[in-house]
Amino acid sequence: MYYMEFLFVRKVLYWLGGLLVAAIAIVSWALASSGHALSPHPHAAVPLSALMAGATFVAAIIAMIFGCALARQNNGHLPLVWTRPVSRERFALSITLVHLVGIATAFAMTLAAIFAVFAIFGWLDAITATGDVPVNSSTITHMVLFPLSWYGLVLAITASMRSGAGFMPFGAWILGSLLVGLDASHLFSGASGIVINVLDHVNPLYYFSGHFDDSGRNQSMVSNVGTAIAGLAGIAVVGYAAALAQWRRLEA
Amino acid sequence: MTEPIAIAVDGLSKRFGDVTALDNFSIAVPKGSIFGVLGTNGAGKTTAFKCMLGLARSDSGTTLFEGSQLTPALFERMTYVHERPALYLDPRVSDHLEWTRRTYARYDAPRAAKLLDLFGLAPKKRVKTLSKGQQSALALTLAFVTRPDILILDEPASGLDPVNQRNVLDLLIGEAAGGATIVFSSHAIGQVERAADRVAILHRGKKMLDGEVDVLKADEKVVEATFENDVPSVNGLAADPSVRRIVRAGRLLRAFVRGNSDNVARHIATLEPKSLRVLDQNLEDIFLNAVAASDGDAAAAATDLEA
Repeated sequence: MYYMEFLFVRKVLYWLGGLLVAAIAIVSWALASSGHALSPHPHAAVPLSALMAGATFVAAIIAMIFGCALARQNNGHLPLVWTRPVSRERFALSITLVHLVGIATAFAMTLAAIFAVFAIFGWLDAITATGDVPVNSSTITHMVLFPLSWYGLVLAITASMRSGAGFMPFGAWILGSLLVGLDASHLFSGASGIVINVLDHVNPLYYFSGHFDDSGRNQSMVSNVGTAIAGLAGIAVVGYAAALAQWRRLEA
Repeated sequence: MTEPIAIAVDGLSKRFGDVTALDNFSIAVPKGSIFGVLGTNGAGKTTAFKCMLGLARSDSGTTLFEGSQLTPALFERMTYVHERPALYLDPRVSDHLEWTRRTYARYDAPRAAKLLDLFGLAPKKRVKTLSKGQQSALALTLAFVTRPDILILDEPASGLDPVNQRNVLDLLIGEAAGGATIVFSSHAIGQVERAADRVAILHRGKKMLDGEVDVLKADEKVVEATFENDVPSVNGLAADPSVRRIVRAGRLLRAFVRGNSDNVARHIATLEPKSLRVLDQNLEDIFLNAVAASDGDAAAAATDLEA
């Protein structure tokens, strides 16, 4: 049932693989040219959580591309998809499973690419799992939920669309960045400030962003990682349910 | 003995805003028969199929397949081909077959190879590189490759070359001979006449008539007369309730009649035509009569009918 989506996911991952190889080559060349590569700081410590966060962002972009999956079916394929011997819900769930594997693979590929750069220059010893943001179950859950929340959100936004859904991930990311920026800046007060803050709560970036406080310290937008996990999980689950509810009621 | 009904459609209606796309559409399709649905563009054929298959929600009416409501599991034995092939453009022909193989327990690999050969489809070709006709052929291949018991085909021969149109008709007839029930729509009346044993005519969302093709044709006659000069006045003929339409073209007069045509033939004979004969109507005549009647076509009929 999910075979066609598997082909699409595989194609996206091939592209990602190509881009990552190109990125490794460019970064390695740039570092080697600048001379930094041969002289690492003897006490440099690179938090693993920061590297994972980078991979999570890439996985989130991939998740947003996959999140347009139902809209892609809506664009002319429903008479074929909905006359297969499986229910609409089962079809949607089956392609979601493929997407989850794809998102996890994108995360792993990106992390592997980052590690490859570190390995090329002999910096692997600098990576540490401890520090300000230690790698533990909460951190991992937080990072896993970030792409999933984007997936749910984009799926919900595009589930009824028949065309033009491809622009949604880009638009959602821009809007999300704008919202979190406005919210953190406190430029708006009163009702408009409240509206921005409320909207920001359905913005995955809100739960993954920091801002500088009055003393110049970088602070998370939310009070603790538990709140961030709850927020991201809520967006992922509610978004997915809303997408399914819309999609199963469409007409071909 | 009454044939079992494979598809029973009862009172399907569908509106889009103020437009009634389908109005109380009912048909009963016996098992193992080929049922043709004829209609002009926008007549409601595709809407009817979509409502039957749950692809669109009907405002009223029901459809039963072998006495049961439609369930996803039923699609294991049933197939639908949309008027525009709903294929994925980037994957290859072989990918579509693989998808079908993974989805249907009844997938028949040897048959897939035969169908690809029949339609001249290269498995490695990407769908986006296929012509419209080849895409239609692939959609049909996917439909026939699972050996379905029920086939619903919306304009199946659309875009195909004459050779493949003939191949499709042969496939339909072969499937029905094997016990499959087929409902298909077409603009090409000749195709329907050749393949279908029953037909329904839709116009502006309404079913104008349906029945066995042979019975319809036997019941509908055309009285055709030629004259030495232009057709003379045929006053009174239009008042005959059996006359559905009269066409005059130069020296040729055609009166389309339902039921007994003797009175009409006698009436025209009094005009002393050069030749006079009574023929069975073909399906095209029946279709045009039904459409003209639906439009209350005083225009087509009135231009033709004697004033």
